[in-house]
Amino acid sequence: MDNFQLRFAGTGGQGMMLIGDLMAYYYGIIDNKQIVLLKSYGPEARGGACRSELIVDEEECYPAITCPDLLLAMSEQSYHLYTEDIDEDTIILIDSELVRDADESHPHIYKVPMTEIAKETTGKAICANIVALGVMTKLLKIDPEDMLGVLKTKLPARILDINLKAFQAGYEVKL
Amino acid sequence: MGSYQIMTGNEACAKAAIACGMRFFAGYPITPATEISEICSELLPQAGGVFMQMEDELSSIGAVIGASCAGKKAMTATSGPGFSLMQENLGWAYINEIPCVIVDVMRKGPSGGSATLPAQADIMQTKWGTHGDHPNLVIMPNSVEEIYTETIRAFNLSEKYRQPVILLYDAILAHMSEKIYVPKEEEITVLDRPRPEGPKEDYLPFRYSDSKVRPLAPFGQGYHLHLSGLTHDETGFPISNQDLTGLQITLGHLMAKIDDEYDEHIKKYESYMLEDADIIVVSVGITSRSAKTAVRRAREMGIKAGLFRPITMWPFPHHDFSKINLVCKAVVTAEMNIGQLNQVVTEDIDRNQKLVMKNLYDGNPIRDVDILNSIIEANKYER
Amino acid sequence: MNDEIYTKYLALDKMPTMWCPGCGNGIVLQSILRAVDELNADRDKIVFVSGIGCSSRAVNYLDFDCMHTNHGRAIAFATGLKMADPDLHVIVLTGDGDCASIGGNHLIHACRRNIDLTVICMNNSNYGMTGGQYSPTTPIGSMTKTSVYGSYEPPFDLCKLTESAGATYVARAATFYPLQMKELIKKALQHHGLSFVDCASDCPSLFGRLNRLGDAGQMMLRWKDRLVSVQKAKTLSAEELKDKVVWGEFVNTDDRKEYCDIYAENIAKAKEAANG
Repeated sequence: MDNFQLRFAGTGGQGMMLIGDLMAYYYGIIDNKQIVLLKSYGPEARGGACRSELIVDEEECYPAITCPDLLLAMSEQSYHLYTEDIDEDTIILIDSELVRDADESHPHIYKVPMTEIAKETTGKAICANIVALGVMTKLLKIDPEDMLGVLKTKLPARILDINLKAFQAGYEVKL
Repeated sequence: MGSYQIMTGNEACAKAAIACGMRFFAGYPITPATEISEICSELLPQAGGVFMQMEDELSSIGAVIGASCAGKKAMTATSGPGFSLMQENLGWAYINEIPCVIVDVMRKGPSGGSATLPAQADIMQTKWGTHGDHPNLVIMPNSVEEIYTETIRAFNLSEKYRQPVILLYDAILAHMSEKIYVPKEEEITVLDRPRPEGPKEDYLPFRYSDSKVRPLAPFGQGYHLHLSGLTHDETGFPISNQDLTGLQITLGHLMAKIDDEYDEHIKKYESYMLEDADIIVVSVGITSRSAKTAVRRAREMGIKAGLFRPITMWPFPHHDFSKINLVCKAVVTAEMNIGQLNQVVTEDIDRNQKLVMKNLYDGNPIRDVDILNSIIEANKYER
Repeated sequence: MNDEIYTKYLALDKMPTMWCPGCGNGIVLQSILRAVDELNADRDKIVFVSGIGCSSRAVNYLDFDCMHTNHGRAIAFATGLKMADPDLHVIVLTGDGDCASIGGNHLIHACRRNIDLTVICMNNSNYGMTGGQYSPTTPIGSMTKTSVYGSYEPPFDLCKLTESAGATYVARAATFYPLQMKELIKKALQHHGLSFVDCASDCPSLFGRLNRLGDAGQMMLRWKDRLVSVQKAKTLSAEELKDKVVWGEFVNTDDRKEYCDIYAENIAKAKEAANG
């Protein structure tokens, strides 16, 4: 793996910053790579489009995305705002209920109703980000045990169980 | 053995400062430096230290200087607009040789500019910001890990040389997270300011006869320490205008104490692929990272490029850089301003060498490809 | 001032002072030193902090720990000093321009925090060191170098200002009553919390000359009719109090917590949070 770039985009409150933290912990601490994690705050903290971005490399990397290898889009607005720099090799994962107007012809687009899955399995839409983490873990061929370890380390005990369920549901989605 | 952790640049700065003994922080909220205040407000009282949110930046640095005079390691953090407000009091700390660390997280200016956008336009302000001149120590790290280690070095230099030290980085480094090595307490080298010995009545707070750093007595210990922003003699008391040699001697001492130690203990820069370089890229802070990638890509294309990256920005390593660039045919400066670093290196190259300026001041970081294009352009030049 | 206090506390080799003959600053300074002496305080724990101006120059004649800072910033420096070492007794020597104009923000915020500093303002209602310009305490109609047709800006009443900002000891003294000034400063020094003493003083060389108020002696005598004690003032009507200067103690309360004490509670909370 040379230089690997991930973007997690959505709406403020969907937990995209947390996904950045968890993925950064996986690649940086568990997988022992060099990482740069970028978060864009500002008006997005109050409900606008927001994103966190992770760059993974064997050596120190420049903190800017040139072309994402993976894009997670959890809202229509963020899908349209943050797809400008993708190419045909980019893996795109969208919430099929929330992003209606996606480019269906893209060779690597995955449409998963992650928010619906979160509601069904945990009763809480807010767990959709962890469902997405489960899907991405599969897409990126990450050992799910490693990612479960990350969740156990980084999440507060009171919300751990529900998120483990969400993760499992995401990981088991048929792609 | 410490541990590997993921944290932002601002977090690394605050945590490193506390790890090396900083126990007083005063600041005023300003983007993109605010997180340093926030973290200090949480962690300093846990360590028995003092965090104060002051009424403005003038009082923030004033309180920091006051706390340092009581013997505490003290720090403030701000961005350009606040750093501008601190200049007068900073001058007081220079002339009274008060150890303290000032963090300037650069954002796009001038004036309010763009609070969340990065820039590297305070390089000259850290050198010439306050009225009246004086030598200065300014450090520019380029990664989160380096922010951690250089924050500690900033305190050590400050304590050792009784001098304010400025840590200068930009909004990108402040907010991005990287994996860094966080050492255990016993792994950190911590220097403390020299304390006076001998009879208190013989104590003098300043010494201008040579370049040695005079120990600084803390207030409240019976030394009857006298500190004044006015031109003073070795007792600290102001001297009259009849004694015009006073300021000359004072400034001479301030310069000598840095100059004498510069080569061995103060200067610090990174040399990357410079041995046979035809083109030398000079870059600092965050921009030096895309510069490094550009140099690597230029090498892949067969262009002999190298990177010269000052970490101690001021005093600038003019002497070393003059020697390093003797055989190269061109120098490329890459920076997020209108050419501050460029102006600095001008005096180190001769007229047969080409100087190419790659700068961007629209709030965007400079991409490696843009620096590569400048290298390619410079490479066309024949000496 | 008697010789003993002179030799005990002053840096005699720095004499004479830069103050003009008849300047009120000397009376204020001797009142402070007498107060310190009578309190038998540990002088090694006292730090004098000043800003810029004729008043702030006082520290340059003192044999104590002293910090002569920038214009307006004395209280900011003093705040850091006090918080870094709460055992210190920090006395701020300032003037009307220094603490009410350029340093006004630091003054009100120190009052708001109720930090244990003693702020003594030598109020001569003009900028002396720069040659007699109007200050935030210059009475309306006064002639100064920058109000040659008479000052037109409403002045501050520094006691009302500091009281409303939260100071827990506020008094006004006058050079006309030096013994009472010493007593008020003594109480200010003993107070735990922010204490502010506004010392009504004269600048004969500039303010006096520009307003044709006579020599230092004649200026001093003018106070006799103008000064009214707090007690007496309560019996007078607003009309009767016009053009009078009320002196005495306005606030002396311990009903607000002092800032160093509040911060110690914060440290306790933080340590508890860290441990549990």
